[in-house]
Amino acid sequence: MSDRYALFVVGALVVALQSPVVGAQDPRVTALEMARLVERSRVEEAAADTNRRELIETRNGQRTLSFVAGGQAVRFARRELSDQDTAAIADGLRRAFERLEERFGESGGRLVGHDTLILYGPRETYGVGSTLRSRLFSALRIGRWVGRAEVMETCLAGPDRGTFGCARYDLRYPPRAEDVERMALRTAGARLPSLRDFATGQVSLADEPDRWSEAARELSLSWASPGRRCIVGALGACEAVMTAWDGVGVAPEWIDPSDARSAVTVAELPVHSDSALVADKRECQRSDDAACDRVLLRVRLPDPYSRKLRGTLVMHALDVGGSGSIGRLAANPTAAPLARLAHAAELTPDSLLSSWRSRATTALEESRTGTWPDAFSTLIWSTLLLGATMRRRP
Amino acid sequence: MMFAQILWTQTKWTRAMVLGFAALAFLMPVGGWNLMASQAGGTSPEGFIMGFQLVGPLAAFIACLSGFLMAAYPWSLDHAANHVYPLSLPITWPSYVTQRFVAGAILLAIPAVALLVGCLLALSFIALPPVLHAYPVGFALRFFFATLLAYSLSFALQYLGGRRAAPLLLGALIAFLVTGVVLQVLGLEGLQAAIARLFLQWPGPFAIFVEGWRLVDV
Repeated sequence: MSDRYALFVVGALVVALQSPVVGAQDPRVTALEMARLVERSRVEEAAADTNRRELIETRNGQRTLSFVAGGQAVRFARRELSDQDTAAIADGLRRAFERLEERFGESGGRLVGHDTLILYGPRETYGVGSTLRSRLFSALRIGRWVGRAEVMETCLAGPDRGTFGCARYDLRYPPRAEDVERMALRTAGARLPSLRDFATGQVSLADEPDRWSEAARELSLSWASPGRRCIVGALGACEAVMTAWDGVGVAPEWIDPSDARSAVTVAELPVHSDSALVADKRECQRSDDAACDRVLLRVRLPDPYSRKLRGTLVMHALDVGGSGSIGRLAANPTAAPLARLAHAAELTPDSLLSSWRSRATTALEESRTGTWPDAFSTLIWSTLLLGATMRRRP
Repeated sequence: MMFAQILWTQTKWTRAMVLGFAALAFLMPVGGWNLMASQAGGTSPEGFIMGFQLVGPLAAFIACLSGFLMAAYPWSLDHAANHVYPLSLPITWPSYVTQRFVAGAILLAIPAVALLVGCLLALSFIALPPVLHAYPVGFALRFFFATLLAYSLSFALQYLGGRRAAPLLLGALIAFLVTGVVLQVLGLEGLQAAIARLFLQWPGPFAIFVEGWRLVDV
């Protein structure tokens, strides 16, 4: 009898652990998931269209509620807001305003809330029936319910961003002052003096320690060698990383002979690839260097580094430069991004890159979770379980 | 002396299981690398990490399974004889339970050592890029402690639940799933996330299973 019980327990455990894997491999499940994704995408597109339409209406002065927070005009669109909600938003924007003014002076304060437009997303309901039923469907993964309390899309329109170029940020409802403050700090980068395409939309002025460890990971794991050389201290390679990628052709500084296979792996083949190119790609994967070279001459390579990574250099330059750095960043709009950032930080480009690299590697070291804390807690839990076990006799 | 006897009994009962899991743990790094490396493509650092990405979940699964069985099987043998053997020993019940627990925990080290040797062997076949580091000792230690946690849970479940252990486990799993659905239906996703954090983040009991299962990382 006891053997059967033991086997039953083991079987239950195995089934419980394996079921997600089995489910993921079932083609019927995959097809259903695809259908759901398509439906979800369709509804999200419709929601985005509604947002755009409402944005236009709001900018034209319709359905708008305005107030002044931290000296800046804030406009709300579409949804009715209680006095409490309005006060929370105003408080959050004021906090962000004060924080940036403290860090960067008057030009920092101007990054917050200037013509801020908060646009609440439409409420979408999947399925038919009551809210409770929709929620149940959502919980059982049959449908997806997006309610007022879950998602509020927020749009901050900067003075120079154009109607549709505003930064987007999801803000939960009801708005809380600390969430609004974080939103304002994260999206304030959209109003920095333009650095062309260097780090568009990826500069956050909030405290985000994870961004630095992520930057170090991205450099270390890049298929292109400059990132890997940069993380181990080659400043020339860091400079290459911070060169904006034109996305056309192959820039020789990116392709080390040892990177060729990896580069071909990530390369985007032309839509109408001829059989020779496909064959060369296959041969390249089999370690034929000549084939790799032939492929690289004909393909388009994606940017090895993200704007998010480059955004950390902007954030670092502003941190180092402190008060006045934003003004200095705007001083010479025609110069290369790295030169402008170095000027904003009042450092040489090499010093800026060196301190940025150190900051990223330090964050990576700090982000590593060792085994010992988990081991310690496991020992404590095991002891507690043993203690509980000793209390009962068969 | 008494502990040596209990350890000997535990070894005799579970030796096949221990050796089986040790063999599995030893082969897993090389096997996982061989399965994934060809799919990872290229020789970039990310390719190396992808090559070993199967090893982490596999090790966690084996840790869970081995710990569970190593506690459940000896108990089932004891239970089949109505616990006559432990009750006939000239020691108190808490002392017996502790010694039985420690004896099993010592044997758990064997698959962990086998995993460490397997990891070192797999790593000796490849040359990692300078930006990557291998963590075989940390990985094997994590495996050992994860096994220990699964063993402790199973041990407690068997000795406290007795014949009701299986229904209790199933009940707990069902309660966990139903609670998640109910909290979502009630719109309490925040509470659901807080409960999940309580269990899955340090110092929660299952934190050891969640993060850090990487043999190779930056």
